[in-house]
Amino acid sequence: MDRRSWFSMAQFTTPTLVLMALAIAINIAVGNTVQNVIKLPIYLDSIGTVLVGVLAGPLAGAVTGVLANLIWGFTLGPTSIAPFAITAAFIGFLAGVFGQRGIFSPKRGGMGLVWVIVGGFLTGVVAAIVSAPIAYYVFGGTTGGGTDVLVTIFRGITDNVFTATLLQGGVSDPTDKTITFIVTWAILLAVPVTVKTIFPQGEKSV
Amino acid sequence: MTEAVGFFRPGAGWLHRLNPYPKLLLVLWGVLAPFVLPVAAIPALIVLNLAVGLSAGLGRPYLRAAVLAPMAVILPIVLINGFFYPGSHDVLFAIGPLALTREGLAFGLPIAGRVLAAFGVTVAFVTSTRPDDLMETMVQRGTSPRLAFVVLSAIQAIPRMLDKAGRILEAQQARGLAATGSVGTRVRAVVPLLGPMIIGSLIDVRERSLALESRGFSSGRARTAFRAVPTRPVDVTATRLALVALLALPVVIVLRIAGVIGG
Repeated sequence: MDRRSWFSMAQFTTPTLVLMALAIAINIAVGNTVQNVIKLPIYLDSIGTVLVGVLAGPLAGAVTGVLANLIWGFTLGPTSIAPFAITAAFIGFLAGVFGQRGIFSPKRGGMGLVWVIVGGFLTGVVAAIVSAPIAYYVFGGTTGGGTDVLVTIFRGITDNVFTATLLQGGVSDPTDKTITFIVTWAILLAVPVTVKTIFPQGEKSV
Repeated sequence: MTEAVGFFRPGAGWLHRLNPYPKLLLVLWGVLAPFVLPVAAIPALIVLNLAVGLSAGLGRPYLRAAVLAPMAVILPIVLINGFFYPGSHDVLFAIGPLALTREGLAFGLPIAGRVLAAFGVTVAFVTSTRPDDLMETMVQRGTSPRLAFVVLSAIQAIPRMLDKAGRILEAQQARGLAATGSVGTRVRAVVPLLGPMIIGSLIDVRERSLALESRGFSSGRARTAFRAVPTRPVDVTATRLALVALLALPVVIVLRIAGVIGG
């Protein structure tokens, strides 16, 4: 695989830009619905980011992640999510790298799902490592979400606030990103080939 | 065609009239300052925020979003740190097994103050700035119009997408989907919600791309703007002030590391 293509501006075709806008809206609509209507203790607010990464490429995924976190405050009112734009960039980028490796291709069958789970888990581990310093320095470890319960539990186990924050991320993020990757994989299986291939990296998921 | 207004509320105060570019720079300062300046400056920053919001006539929606809404973040910060700070022993008062400690508050209160200050600034910004005016100004200053397109059409799509999510969920529930109950049941409710949303969006992309291309989206020629955003002399002064204030922040960091400024 050509690493230079990870940062290629050729990822930003017109269909990519249209998808990025819709993906940002999907992130926010799904994240909001899952957290407030279905009330799950996971975020699921990076499905659009992962989708762009897989279909358009790592750089497009990273940009989508950053924009989604910044735009969130512009529409639903400011939340604690904006500082995690850096994490979102890593998530979109990694999804793009995994997409380029073809792990979302239905040709792989059952083994494909194994790779999707591994990819989602690794992305979650990276997300946890990137998020912990942000959550610690900006919010002191608690961000007002369902994950605060976990932070409180871990504070009882460890004697260090930063470790408790890192442990909370270490539980929440790999779970969340693994589910996100599996859901994206399942949905992409149902997407027609002609729709996937209008995106720059689409043929890798065919 | 809905307009991309997002959280914007119409108004005629001085903050509404300020050009989005100096306003963006000032917001950047307002978000960074609570984290850079000494803890003692945080109350002053919060008061400054409220003074800005109220003098600009942002009124009740501003107060609700800048003071009430952040409580969902700030109360957990104060309470979880106050009661569950590892290794703390200086108990202020105890309720049963729970003890409010001095160390916990000393850690939590400055953080809560910083978050409140940063929240207030962003609320004042998003309630007083039209996203399309902001992006128009940024394009004039050299931002890619393609980036502006992504930002604005995302802001436009969000209310539609939220509405769509609600409708799909209701439709699936009408067909027997269980969206309440155990965590397992609720996790399984996610796929029937996401499937129609994402596949529908992906299929839309081709049509929208063709529509854009047939209107010269990729032509690369200079564009004319529908909305003109004026730059008045006061905006130029505000831009200079904001740049000076921003450049002062790294100086403060150096002085704090060197120990010239405490706290």
